[in-house]
This record gives sequence, C-alpha cells and structure tokens, in this order.
Amino acid sequence: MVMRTVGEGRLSEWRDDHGRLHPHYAGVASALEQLGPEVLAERWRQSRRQVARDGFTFYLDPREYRTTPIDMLPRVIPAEHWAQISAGVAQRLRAINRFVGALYGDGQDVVPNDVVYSCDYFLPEAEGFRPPSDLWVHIYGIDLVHLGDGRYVILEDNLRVPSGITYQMKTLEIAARQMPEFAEGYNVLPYDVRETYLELFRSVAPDAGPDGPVAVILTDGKFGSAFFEHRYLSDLLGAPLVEGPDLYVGHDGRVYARTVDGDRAVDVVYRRIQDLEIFVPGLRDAYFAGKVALINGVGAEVADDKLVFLWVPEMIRRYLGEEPILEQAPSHNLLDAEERRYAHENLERLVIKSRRGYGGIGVYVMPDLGEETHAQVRALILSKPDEFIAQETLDFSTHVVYDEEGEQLEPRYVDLRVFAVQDGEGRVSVFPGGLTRVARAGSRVTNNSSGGLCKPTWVLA
Amino acid sequence: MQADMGPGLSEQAVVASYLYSARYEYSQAVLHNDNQVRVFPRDGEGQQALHYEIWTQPPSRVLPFSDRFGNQVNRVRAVEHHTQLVVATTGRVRLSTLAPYVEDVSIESLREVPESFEYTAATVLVDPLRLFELAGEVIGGATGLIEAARSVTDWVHGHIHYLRGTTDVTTTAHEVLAAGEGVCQDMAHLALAMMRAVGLPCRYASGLLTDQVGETHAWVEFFHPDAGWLAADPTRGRMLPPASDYVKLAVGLDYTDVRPISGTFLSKGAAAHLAAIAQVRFGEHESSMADALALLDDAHIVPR
Amino acid sequence: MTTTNPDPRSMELGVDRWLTDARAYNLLWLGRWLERAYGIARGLLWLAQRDAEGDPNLDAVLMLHTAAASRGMSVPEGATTLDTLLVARNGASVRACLESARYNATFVAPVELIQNLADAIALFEEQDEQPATLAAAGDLLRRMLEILDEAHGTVEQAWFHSEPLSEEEVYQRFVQQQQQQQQQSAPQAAGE
Repeated sequence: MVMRTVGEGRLSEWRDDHGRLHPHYAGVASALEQLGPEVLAERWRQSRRQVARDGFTFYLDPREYRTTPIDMLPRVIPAEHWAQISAGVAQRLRAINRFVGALYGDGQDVVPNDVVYSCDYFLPEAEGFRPPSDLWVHIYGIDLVHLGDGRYVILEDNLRVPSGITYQMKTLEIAARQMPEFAEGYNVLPYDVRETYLELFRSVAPDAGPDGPVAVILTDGKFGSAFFEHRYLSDLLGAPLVEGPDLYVGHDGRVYARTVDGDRAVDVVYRRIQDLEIFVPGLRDAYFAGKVALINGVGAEVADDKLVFLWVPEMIRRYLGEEPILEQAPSHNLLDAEERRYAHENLERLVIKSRRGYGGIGVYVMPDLGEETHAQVRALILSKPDEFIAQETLDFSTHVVYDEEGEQLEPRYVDLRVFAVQDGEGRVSVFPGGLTRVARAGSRVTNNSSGGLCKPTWVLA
Repeated sequence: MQADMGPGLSEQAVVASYLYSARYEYSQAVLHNDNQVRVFPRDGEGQQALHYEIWTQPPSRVLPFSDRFGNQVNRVRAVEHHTQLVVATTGRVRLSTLAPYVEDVSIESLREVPESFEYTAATVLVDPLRLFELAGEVIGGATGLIEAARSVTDWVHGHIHYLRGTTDVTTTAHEVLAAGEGVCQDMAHLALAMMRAVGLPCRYASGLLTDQVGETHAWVEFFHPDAGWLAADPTRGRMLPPASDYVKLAVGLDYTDVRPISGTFLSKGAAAHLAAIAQVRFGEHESSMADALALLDDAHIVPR
Repeated sequence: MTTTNPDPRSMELGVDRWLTDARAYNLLWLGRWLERAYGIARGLLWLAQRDAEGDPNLDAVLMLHTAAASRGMSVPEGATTLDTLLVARNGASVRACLESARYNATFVAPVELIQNLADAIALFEEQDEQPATLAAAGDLLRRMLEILDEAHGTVEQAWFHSEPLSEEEVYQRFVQQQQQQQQQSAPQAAGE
C-alpha cells in the first residue's frame, strides 16, 4: 500500500522540502504501511471507542457530552530540538517569576506603567506580599509553533490556569494501547507528572500537622470544558475534587473542606478556576496570610496579558542577564500610535488577539478570515486598540493526520503546548513533549476550544 | 509640565479650580471595586494642568497612567469590604480666555494628516456610515474645514431638542437623530458621526463648564492641519469657544473612552444608586474630602 | 536543615473517603438516575414477558402509556411510546437517565464506573435500528442490566473495597456478626 498525502503544507513535520520523509518518522511510516488500511481503520475506531468509554471529554457546550478527538499518529521531536525548547521554556518561566516578584516587590521598570496598570490582572493588593520561596509561577503552559529546522517560536504564555497536561497524557496512553506498533524501535523520554506535582505541593505547603499536607483540586464543576482534566488529576494525585461551596475560610484563617464526616483542614488548593473570591470568599486573603498554598498563586496572571508578553525577552535580559533562547512571534503594542498605524495598514496579514483572551477566544487570524470579519476586526481595533495586540502571522508547520475513510494522510497545522513546573526548591521541570494540538482543515487556530484534535507527542532520547 | 499654551495665554488667562465627586451605593457588601477614573486636567489647546488630587472612600491604591489619548487616568482599586464607594477629585487649571482665531483650510488638505486614520473611525456609538447622506446634505457645497464643522454644529444645535431622561450612555448617534432629542453627550455623538462621515477627523471632549455646579459636559473637537484641535459645542451652538469656557478632562473617540469612572465590582448585590456632581470656580481654591462629601449631599444627578 | 514533607495525607486516606457537598450531591443524583433507569427497565421487562406469554388481558399500549405518564413523559406525535421510554432525548428515557448518571459519575466515580455507563449507553447508540417490539426491547434491557450489575460491582470494589456479595454470603456475614456480638457481650454479662 502506498500512503498518499494530500495537499501538504510548505513546512511539514512529516517530510522535508524535497518530499522525503524525515528520518525520525521512518518507524511510524513503516508501521502504517505494514498494518494497512483495514487494520488502521479498526484501530482508529477502537481509539474513538476508548476515548468515549474513558470519558476523555472536552466540552464545547455543557449540554453536549463531547469527546476529545485524537489522532494516534505521533509527533516526534528530535532530541536536539527538545534541548532548545526545554532550556528556553525554563528560562522564560524563571524570568517571568522574577518579573512578577519585582512588580509586587520593590518595583519594576521593564514593562511601562500604562501597560501594567491597565491590565485587569494587575492586583495592587498583592504588593508587598511574598509567596513561599518567592514562587509566583508554579505551573506554566507555553504555546509554540515550529517554523522548520528546529526553529520554535512562542505565540503566548499561559499563567492563569494552563490546562492540557492530562490531554497530553491521555492521548499518549490511548495511542500506546491501540497502536503499540508505532512505538517499536523508538526510545521516548519518559516523565512523571504525579511525582513532580506532589513534590511541588510538598514544597509550597505551609507547615502542616504530623500527617503532612492535604491537597485538594478546586473545580468549577462537571460541566466545565476541561473537567476531564480536573477528574484525571484528582485520580492521579489522590487529591479530592472540591467545588467552591465545599471550601470555606475558618476563624483561624485556615481553609477547610466541609465533609459529611466533619470539616477537614486543607493545606494546598490546586485551583482550576479564575475568580477565587467568587467561588471561595476569603481564599485569597488566606493565601496572602500564608495559611494555605494556592497553585497557581495570585499575581502571575499579569504575565498572561497578551500585551505584557511583548516584554518577556526584556525580562530575560534584565533579570537573568541572558539572551532569550527561544524567539517569540513579533508583536505590536496598539497603545503606541505608530504601531497602531502599522497594524491598521497591514491588518490583512496580522493576527489580532484580545489581551485577556485564552483558549482561542478573541483570536483573529486575518489571512484566514473573510472580508466581513476583516471589516469587523478593523472597526474593533480602531475603537478599542487598548484591548488587543497584533502579531505577525507565522507560516508554521503542518503534520499529517490519518483519515481512515479516505485511507490517506491529510496535512493540518499543528502547534505545541509545553508544560513546566517550578517547585519551592527552585527546580524547573519541563515535561518532555507536550500537547500537540491540530487545527481543523484550513485553519491555523489549534485550541481544543476551537475544535482541534490532539496528537501524541514524543521526544526522542 | 509646561504645555503649548498658544499665543497670548500668559496675558489672557484665568485660573479655575474644580471639585468632582461621585458616590456609588450597593445593595450588598462589595469585595473589591476596581475603577479607572478620568477626571483630571488635560494639557493643551489653551489649557494648562496645574494640580490634581484624588481620594476614595474606602481608601484604595491609586495607580496613575496615561491612556492612548494622553488622558490622565488613575486606576483605583478598593479591596476593603464596603457598601458605598466615594470617588472624589479636585484639580486646578490655567485657561486662555482668547477665542482661537484660525484661517480656514480646505477639507481636501486633511487627506494627508495622520489623524485622519483613526479619528474618522466608526465606534459602537458613532457610526458615520449611517449618516453619510445627511452629512453631505448639511454640509452642502462647503469646501472649508471650519465652514463644514460649523454647518454640522449649527445643524445639530438647531435640530436636536435638548431633553434630559430620554437617552442614556448607550444611545447611538443615529438613535439620537431618529429621536430628535437628547443631552450634550448625544449631540456630541451626532456631530461626530456627521463630521466623520465627510472625512473630518474629530474627537469627543469631556469636561466641566466653568463657574457652575452641575454635571460633566460634552463637546466636540475637530482637527485642523495648522492649528491642531479646535472646539465646537453643538449643545450650546458655539464654534471655537475660548478655552476658559471649560475645564477639559478627557478626549476620545466617543463617550466610552472618556467615562469619568468606569470599572467593575465584585458583589452578590447590585449597584443600587449613584450620584455625581462637579463644582467649578474661578481662582485658586483648596478642596478636601469633606468638601467633596458635602457637595454630594446636594447632588441628585445621575451622571451622563 | 531541610526536611521533605511527607505525601499529602489525602493520598493515604483515599479520595473516596471525603464526602463533600459536591460529592454527596452527585452521588444522590447518580443513584436517582440509575434507579429511574432500573425502574423503567423492570416495568418493560415484565410487560415483555407477559406479552411473550400471550396474556389475553394485556393491553400493552395502555400500559406503555401509563408507564410514560407516571414518569411525566408525553409521547410526541410521530414517536412510539417504546422509543419515548427507551431512547428519546427527553430527559427521562432509559438512555437519557444513563447519560445523566454518567455526568454525575464523572464527579464521584472511578473511571471504571464511567466506562460501565459508557458501555450501557453504547447499547442504545450502536443499534442499527431501535427496538420496535417489546421482545426486542426486552433483549436490549437485559443486556443493559447485565452491564449495570458490573457497575454495581465496580462501586463495591472502589468505595467499599470488597467484591459484591451474593445473598448467601450476606446471610453468612450477618450470622457471623451476630455471633461476634454475643461473644463480646457475654463477659460483660458475667461481670455484673
């Protein structure tokens, strides 16, 4: 059987410029050939069945039980690419952590005041607060695209509630089970999310009783889009799932979980929600008072502002005295009249992003949009430029997904969300691989919220 | 902060002091209240900012910055639980009493100015496309910039009946036209929409009328390639008034850019009531938080 | 000196030991939805059996309508009563009950229970055509009940850490407990 590939993009993860398969995909390609379309179709059906059976969901609409679409053909990252990504992500996390510490500590002059003060996530009440071990950024997610030849470029930082680590794990697990043939002959770097997270919990928990710290996962409930992740983490970490009303702050300032068997003191809240005060009144103050560890803490959100993103390279230079290892997408500050004018004149080839957006919400990839949307976005950035940034559109890589009905490989745009954890000892762990998100055909927006699918991602040892 | 005061300002200038005070009441405790305040003197166009102060009750951290229009903004964030928030500011400006004398230029000369690019834009409240025909008719054969601006200002003054209570802060320019009535903000929006429809770069100006107690006023500024921003007040039917008519506090594309206080609060309750009032006096006057609270006791006015 | 803290206590206790409001709420509704699915299934199985035995007094149509009405369901025009009771997305059919139960299960359950419920739901989705006769409905429901029995076993194992007991085993355990209690109370009686 000869596997056809339809309409492959210019920068392919799968083949080089001359149409030759990249050597690190030889094993995967030969497994595809050997199994043949009938077996593949059955395996792909099985993978969908397992996704549904295991409740591997990503709800777009809470009324619809939507399973997460996956494609089992792996993305393989060569070791030398990973060395650069991993170092670059760790560097960026450290720089952002230092910036946030300076912002709420002695003050900073890297990011202009009009940017920081107009950012909703800048919380003056955190001024003067020092989190345990000066740890502001605990769990960090970073979105990258590959421009070919090992050139990875950062699109954005996620510091509020970065989600997706379990999508990465579950996709790997299903692919390993349904398509073991792909992995034959590959030596893939392992990682241990459970141990890393528990180590983080231990390192930031305030002094707990003789039995050690108690950790819970605070969720917005079973209809939230990423509830699968909350449940999976609860199982993985052995931390009870709680909703806002299950927690309260006692007279002693500590956080308690209400249970039928009595109230239990909680030392670590891994929160998967944004608005702490709405869900658990007083939780933030308990954190500021050092009575509970919050993961992610309060303060780092400011670097989630897509406008603050523009100054991260400067943070790396200033706080670490290093040059950035990874490049980031060239971006424009629309508060500046010149840049605003540039964005206005070159709108057709830019990406417009809401400063507060996440998960693909408020992202307009202008080259992929119709004229009507162009007019709307133009009006939007003319009347409210302070709410957006402009980014150059990058021609990033495509990978192939297997279409079992057409018995062919179809190219789609892919990005890479990499997760990193920093613990109280200052150690940064970057989990090898990450979540490869695949855009829908013809689109460059890869988020799960936008209906993309997930691919297993391997890093070669 | 010495601004370009224009010729003759030092001889022909007055000092004015103002006090602005707003009070929000809530039906239940507010956990945090985060607002941007834009009630501070601007520099330029015949006005020189001398001084300002801001207080809030409960006290809050004040974060000063400039927005993209050069307006002075102070973000105030109160995190003490409260059921009432008072925001008060006081300021002093020096104002030219001379009406600008400017030669008219042709509308054509605006094509090249950078201001044409964003100050002719549509916004939610000001959509020039919908007023294209009317604006053309009103301006008629006018070829001069000031001449055109004057026709629009006079037309709005003559055709829109000043009436309180029938419009609110979300009323759009074309709704004002359809209703035929409104307040200063509505007239400014309609004038902006008509000027932008014929390609005049123009902006919304917000401030206080001098020597009176009351609410904030709104007028229009249009761009002149040689003289910069020039005022036109459709509510009062005045073209190129002297700077000393107003204390100018903020400019923007429409009202949403210049809202005196805008922000969010976190509470299970709602904002039950609010009052805002401003007082402007010529001369140097000191005001305190106590004065601001006393002024509020006389206020029955919901700010526009 | 830095000492490493021990593991979070919750790990030793087991996630399932904490009965929070949110968990209690979801357990309650998990139970209610499943009981509802069981209830309709038992009624239909009884009806299918009577029908198969050729009971001359059986008015199956009337009974189906009664079953639907007793659960607050109305039969839409063009739909069959059987469809309304079994597979319709009306919030109360057997399938809808299972789907609702699965939402609650995601909050409280081990993944095995979610898998059991997914298997039961799949019975209704994988059918080429929905059962048109009472006999076909009976076959489907018997398979569903088998899967729900597995779910019962899953719950026993996950929450009570034991294999599900047969009725005989339950009786034996009861007898044992009685004997132990008598032994414990005997010395006290002697001491009086």
